[in-house]
Amino acid sequence: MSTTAKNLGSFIADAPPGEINEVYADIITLIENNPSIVKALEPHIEKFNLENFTIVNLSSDSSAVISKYNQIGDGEFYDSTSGKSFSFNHISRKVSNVSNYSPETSFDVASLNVSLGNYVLEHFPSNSSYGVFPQPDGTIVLVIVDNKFNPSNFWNGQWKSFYILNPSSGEVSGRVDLDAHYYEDGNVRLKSSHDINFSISDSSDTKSLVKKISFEESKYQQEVNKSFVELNESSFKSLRRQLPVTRSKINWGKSIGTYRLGKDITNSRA
Amino acid sequence: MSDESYDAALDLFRRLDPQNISKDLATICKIVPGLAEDLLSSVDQPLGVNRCTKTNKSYLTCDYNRDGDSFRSPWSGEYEPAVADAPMPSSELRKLEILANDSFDIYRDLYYEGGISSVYLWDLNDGSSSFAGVVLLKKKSNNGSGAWDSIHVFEFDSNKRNSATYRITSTVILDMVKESQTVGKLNLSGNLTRQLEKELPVDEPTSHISNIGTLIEDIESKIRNSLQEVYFGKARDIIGECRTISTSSENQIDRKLQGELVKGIDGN
Repeated sequence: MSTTAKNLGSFIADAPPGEINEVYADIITLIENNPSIVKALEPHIEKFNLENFTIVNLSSDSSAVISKYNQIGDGEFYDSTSGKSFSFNHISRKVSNVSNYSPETSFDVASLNVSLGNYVLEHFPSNSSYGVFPQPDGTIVLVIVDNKFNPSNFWNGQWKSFYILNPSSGEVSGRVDLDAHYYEDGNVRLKSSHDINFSISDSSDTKSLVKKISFEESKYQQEVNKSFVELNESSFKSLRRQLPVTRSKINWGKSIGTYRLGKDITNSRA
Repeated sequence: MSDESYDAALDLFRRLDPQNISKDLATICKIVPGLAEDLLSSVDQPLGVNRCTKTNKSYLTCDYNRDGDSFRSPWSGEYEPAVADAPMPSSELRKLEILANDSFDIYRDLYYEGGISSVYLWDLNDGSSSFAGVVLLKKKSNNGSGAWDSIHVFEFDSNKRNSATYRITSTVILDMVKESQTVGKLNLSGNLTRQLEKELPVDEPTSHISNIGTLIEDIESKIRNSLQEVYFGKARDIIGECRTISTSSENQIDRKLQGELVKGIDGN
């Protein structure tokens, strides 16, 4: 039983952005709704929500992320933009008990939140959210996520990134994760992750910090775009040609063996 | 086993990370053993490679040339290790199978310039003289950055005297990986499937091999175009929908300028 839940847990972890409901429903069908396995899957769903920075709506005009960085209790989270805490049910994905909340910190969270918000507004055009969360160890965590779900055209995508700032040293370590899924008459997945590390001279200069993040993320995105071109022009071309060297389609039939003859002649000439 | 659980399993295979397809298939077969047989014959996995001990040539393995733990080599026509009473093509069909393997070996050489090909044919015991088969091709790039597996399953109806209607289901599994300091780790993996039905003239039994060759050559070229579009165009576009390199204010200005330009042209 426990291995079943563990193996199915890896299915949940593998779910493409925006398709967790479908993957979960398929799993439930396979296990015929077996209550003990369903129960054992709950921690995997919770992990998925936390790691994918699941976006929730607190009101019609304010969203928040679900992550381990803004978790303040079992199923309790807060949002740095609206200054609200809320309860979140990982299975139903419903928000409740929204109330006022601000974390204790000497860091100027509000200022960084504004800078980060401006950056997200300029570069993340789809369903995006973000947050700035002071941690118990004194570090400050920035979280960004943008989801573009287009199931009617069989594709979904996600950009997510987080940065951990050490205010006393100015060191920043973070990571970007990209996930794109295309599934019309197939199943194609892009996954890419990249670590980003740098340091800033003045931790209170929130504009410079966000500017640096913007620079690093744009640089990375350009590198990813370049990789598509490189993979296409080198690796992909080396796998299968568009046409044979003869530049014409094959003359199938009993005389197809003459191609081999032709090749032997070229080889002996070379 | 129910249709519902079979459909749920197939739905999972179009959603879960294609890199884990073999592992996920094993998991589902263990949880719902009743699905195993149907799933193993309908979910395409990367092909295995064996070496024919008789001819010392490499061949491809899949569910279609498997019997228990043995696989049949297309070069010798024999199972390795040998199996008693394993399914074999009739001697007439084996002749066509040899021609098909020779033909696709040339096709492989011309298009893949390397790699491995294998064709397996089997008689259909439905009273007709027809058969079905699978054409397999596999190529890995030298630096390990790419792997291509083609699986073409075909059958045909030869009700008319001078023609046959072919039905082919083709899947290409393509995995690409890039790892570097500037890009980190990037995986592009998955598969695309296409189906085709076409009537072609038949003069003699060997016509089937030429016809299937012509059709597969055509399908592979089309799938190759689709793969190129999805892997390198669509994937980039999807990421571009999540984050833009230019800012939204810049984009707005661009759009405004474009609008004015169009207006200017219209005004003239």
